[in-house]
Amino acid sequence: MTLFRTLRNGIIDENPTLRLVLGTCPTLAVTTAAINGVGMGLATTFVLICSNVLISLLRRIIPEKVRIPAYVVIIAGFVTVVQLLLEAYVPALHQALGLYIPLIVVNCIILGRAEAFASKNTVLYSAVDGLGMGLGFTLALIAMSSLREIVGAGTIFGVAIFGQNWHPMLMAALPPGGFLTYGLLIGLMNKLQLVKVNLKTHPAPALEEGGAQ
Amino acid sequence: MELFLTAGSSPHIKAPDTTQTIMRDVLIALLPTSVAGIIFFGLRALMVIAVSVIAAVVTEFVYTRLMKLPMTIMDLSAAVTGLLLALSLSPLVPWWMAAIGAVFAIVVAKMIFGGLGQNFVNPALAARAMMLASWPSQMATFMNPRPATDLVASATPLPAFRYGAGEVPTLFESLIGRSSGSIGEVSVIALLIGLAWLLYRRIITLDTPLAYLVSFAFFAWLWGQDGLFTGNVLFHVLNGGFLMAAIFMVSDYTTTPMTRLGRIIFGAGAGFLTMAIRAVGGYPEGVTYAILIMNCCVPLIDRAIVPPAFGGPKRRRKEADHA
Amino acid sequence: MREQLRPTIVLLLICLAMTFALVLVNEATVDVIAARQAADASAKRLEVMPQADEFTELEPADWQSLVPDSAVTAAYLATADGAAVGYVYDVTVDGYGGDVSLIVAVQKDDLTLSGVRVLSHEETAGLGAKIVEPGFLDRFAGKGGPATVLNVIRSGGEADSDSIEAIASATISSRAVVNAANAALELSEALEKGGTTP
Repeated sequence: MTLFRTLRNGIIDENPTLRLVLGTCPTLAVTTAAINGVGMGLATTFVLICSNVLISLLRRIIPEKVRIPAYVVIIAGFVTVVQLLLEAYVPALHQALGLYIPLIVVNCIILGRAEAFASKNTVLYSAVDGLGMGLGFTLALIAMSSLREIVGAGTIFGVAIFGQNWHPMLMAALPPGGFLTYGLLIGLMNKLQLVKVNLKTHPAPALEEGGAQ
Repeated sequence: MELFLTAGSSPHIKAPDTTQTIMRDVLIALLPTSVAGIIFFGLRALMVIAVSVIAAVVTEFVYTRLMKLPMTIMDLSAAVTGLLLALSLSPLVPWWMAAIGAVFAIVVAKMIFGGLGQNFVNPALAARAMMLASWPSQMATFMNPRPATDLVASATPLPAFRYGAGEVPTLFESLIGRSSGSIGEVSVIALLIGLAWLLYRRIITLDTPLAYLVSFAFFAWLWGQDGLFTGNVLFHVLNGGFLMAAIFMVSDYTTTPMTRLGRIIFGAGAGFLTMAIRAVGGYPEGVTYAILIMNCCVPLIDRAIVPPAFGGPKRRRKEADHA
Repeated sequence: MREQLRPTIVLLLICLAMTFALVLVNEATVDVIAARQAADASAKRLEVMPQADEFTELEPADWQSLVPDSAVTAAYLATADGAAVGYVYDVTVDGYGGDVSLIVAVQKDDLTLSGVRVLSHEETAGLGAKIVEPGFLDRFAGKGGPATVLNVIRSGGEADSDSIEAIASATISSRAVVNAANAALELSEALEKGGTTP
């Protein structure tokens, strides 16, 4: 697999949010406004790259038996670093993301990539995998949060795009809107994938199974 | 949906009922209520009804064309959904809200799941719940029925009763339609005419509506305003959306259980939830959410109550479930 | 033996290394965070009491006995050039969806409200959540006065000097804010009468 393929894999073919259905908790919870999606996505990407690199570096040192605790310590450490930095320098984002920053620790995407990729691949590839997965997550969050903000609040990145007489569909920004938008996006992604596969006249792929976090 | 059934050799009994005739009868049954709504609320009600029905039918037409599905608008189910949605709305909702609601009902609640017979919640109620969450203040603004002079009503009967704000209609006023509320809930008599038509044409059976009524009446009596067992049952039955739901929503074929016992459990649960929301919940009216929640329970009820296979070992107790 | 010790030692080293890294980051950010939090809090108090230049927290023991069970959680004396001009309170009241935290400021001279701001709430989006909007909060400025208890009137009604017009379909949320204002007014009056302030 080339570096480019690794990158593309995370963004499209195995998009963690829309194809693997990982990290659904932050996906549903923070995507009420586009800026939150960007912030959460980039914070997760940062943690993902750092943890992938470090775990890849240590992959021959960390013994099999304690690999999960070791991964968790490393991930939790980076998450705390992100939290402190955000609180100190981007307090508005810290307030908006609130509880969900510590929850990056238990985001399946990060532990999943540590276990499935970084512990078996070289540092460079692990970094690129972290970047690809992180960007895939970020793009999915941006797509979802933009949709929810446009429909639910009538704004995008806080800028009003409809006239005064428009009453936004509040539900899109509420929890049920999160589930609905997520379901519709996954459906759309599957549809596109099926179209692509049909074009190549390949047999339909087995649907990916993924744990939800 | 895959078909497991194979046809045996002839002769077959052919019933004259088709989806189209059933839906036509439901439309006829809704006619008195629609007319009453238009008489009491005027052209605004007509506008909401027209927009909602047209939007629902056009949406289904476009969707089936885009997705290359068989054309289904002639089975009239989209028209029924649009009409039911309109009747559950305030006559004062802006026309585009009614249109978005109808599109939501058809696309999100019905067609995405595979169309008629595959939807797991009542499309009209799902759309109403969506609108309630999206535009809470517009959905809670009602008008007084004509010939009242002031356009915007102070409070519908249910909040008037519960929070003591505004006038509670007398029973007679509820009966013919002198109280504010959604287009379809204004006149009890018009709804009962519709019920009579459905029963005469054998479109619905009374088991779910009766279970709903009995359970609802019991809990209305239980959760009285002045302590337990003091409730005004007749008031709760005749006001708000209860009767319309009891006649046209809980009797829906697709979103209720398959066995009679299952339907009775469904009705009883919906009655409890409706009154629970009215009495202690956050909304004055609980019909929409109660039925949607019970819709979601239908697969569980159907799993719990499995009638014996035809020709299989007999279990006496369950035989009645064949009905 | 070596095979059993190795995992323990590696895990211990990783933990130590991460802890050390966290200590470094914490050292670098702790002062920034503390300064920012303090600045945020005083900026919010300044918003509701613009003429003040300094806020001194009053000892809870000094005022809690004046009004038992008050919704006020912290009280500050606002001063301008050393002279007391008013009181600013952190107040937490019950809303429709959960706790509502507010900052309420009261003028010292005539015991009227100077300003109200909502810090956090869990009210219904689109209805109760409108309590954060200036259009509603501005209804409070100048209301109050000695021995006044504000009450809520329905949306659309005419508010007089003792009442606040509620947000349409959100009377309970509106009442929560009025309750907070009343708690602040009550405590201010008690503080003035008690004469415990300079």
